[in-house]
Amino acid sequence: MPYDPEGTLYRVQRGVIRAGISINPPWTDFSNGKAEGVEPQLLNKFAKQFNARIEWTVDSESNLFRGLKHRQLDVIIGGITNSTPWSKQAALTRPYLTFGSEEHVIAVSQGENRWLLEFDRFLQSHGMDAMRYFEEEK
Amino acid sequence: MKTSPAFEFPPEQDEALHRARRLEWVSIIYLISVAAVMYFVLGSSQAMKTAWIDDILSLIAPIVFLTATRIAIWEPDERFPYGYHRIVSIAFLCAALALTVMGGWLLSSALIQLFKAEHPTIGGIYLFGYTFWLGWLMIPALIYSAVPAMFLGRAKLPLARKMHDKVLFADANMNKADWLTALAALIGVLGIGLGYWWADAVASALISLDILHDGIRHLREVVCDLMHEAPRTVESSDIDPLPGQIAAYLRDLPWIEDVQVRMREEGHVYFGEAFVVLRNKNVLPDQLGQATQGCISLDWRVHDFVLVPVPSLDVQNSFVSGT
Repeated sequence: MPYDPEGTLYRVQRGVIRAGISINPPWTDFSNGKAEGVEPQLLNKFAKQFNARIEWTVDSESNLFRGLKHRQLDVIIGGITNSTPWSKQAALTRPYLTFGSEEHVIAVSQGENRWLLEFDRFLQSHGMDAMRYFEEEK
Repeated sequence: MKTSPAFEFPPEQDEALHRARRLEWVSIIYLISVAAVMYFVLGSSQAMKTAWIDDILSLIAPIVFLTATRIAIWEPDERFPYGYHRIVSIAFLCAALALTVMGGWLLSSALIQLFKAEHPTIGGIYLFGYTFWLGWLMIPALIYSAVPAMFLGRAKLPLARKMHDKVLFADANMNKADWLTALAALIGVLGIGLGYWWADAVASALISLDILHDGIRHLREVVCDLMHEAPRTVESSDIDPLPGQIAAYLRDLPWIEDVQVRMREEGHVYFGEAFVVLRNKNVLPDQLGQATQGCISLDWRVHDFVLVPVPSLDVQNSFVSGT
């Protein structure tokens, strides 16, 4: 326990993670034709745990959250904080980096509780990596 | 001005009142702690939220009881010659209304969630250097919200009977039934854990139905009370035999030919009148006074009683006790 009602974790293992990315340096960038920044590095590391490939969708935050809501995406990154106005459309992880009142999170599909818990565990144990990536990107 | 008697309870009921007040204070402190514990583990489970609101709503009855029993014993005065007894019913009306409205609102939220197929999210919590599923923490929180409540309910029930207090009786029964709420929420949480997103909304709907049911039941009861329904016993829908006993007592007096009694509930106690047809016309005021006292001493609940000599009884009113 818990299990995913829609089986996200089971599907992505040795499969594909459908990730949405909205450009928001230093957290996320796609200007060189590939995903770069603090959060893509974290997500790549996360995907490696499950031998999963990442399929990127670059779009605006509003479009990405719509895609997440309709279960066309599994996860969204883009320097999202937990005060995001989209919090009702998504499940937010626990903050992995905090600057004052800015708590940085990753958004995953609602109700996929195992999927969310795997992110929470990953981010908790990779907080130092996140800090290091952030220092490098600056 | 003639006011109704000042005292509310004889010593036995007075002692029950003190114990009940102490239990209600314990209930308030306990329920606040439950609400705090539940708040920290809510997640976005609708079932947990509903159980949490149920716990907060459970605070109303003890607060109503504590304030109402304080005010109900105020002495009658020129402004309120019948005393303050009915404050109990009015407070109960407010509590029942709150339950009904909240129950209806929670039920509609649960149904909307079910209809929209919203998947409840319960994530991780970081505690003692480890991230684990918040759902696991909900289980002890729910147990804490149910088990002490059952004992409190069990302790309050006999006091409610003794004091003829409907608020306390309703509160005790709701406490006793708290484990149902906790169990429903628990099944909802475990259902989420097993990957059945709808379990949460279904559990929430069941809990809100229970709240709504309590609210409507109490509402009907208290509205009947306020409309001066014939007194009923606290725990059943049986008409209280007391008015009949009073009629029988009066009819046994040699100078009374026939009698009709009607009574009404004013909070804990009864008010009433007896219309008597006299056998001879030479009855002294002293005799009337003694008969009145006799009626009042039949039961502590007979609080304010009036004896009215009449030329003949209204045969149409056959529903009044004693015909």
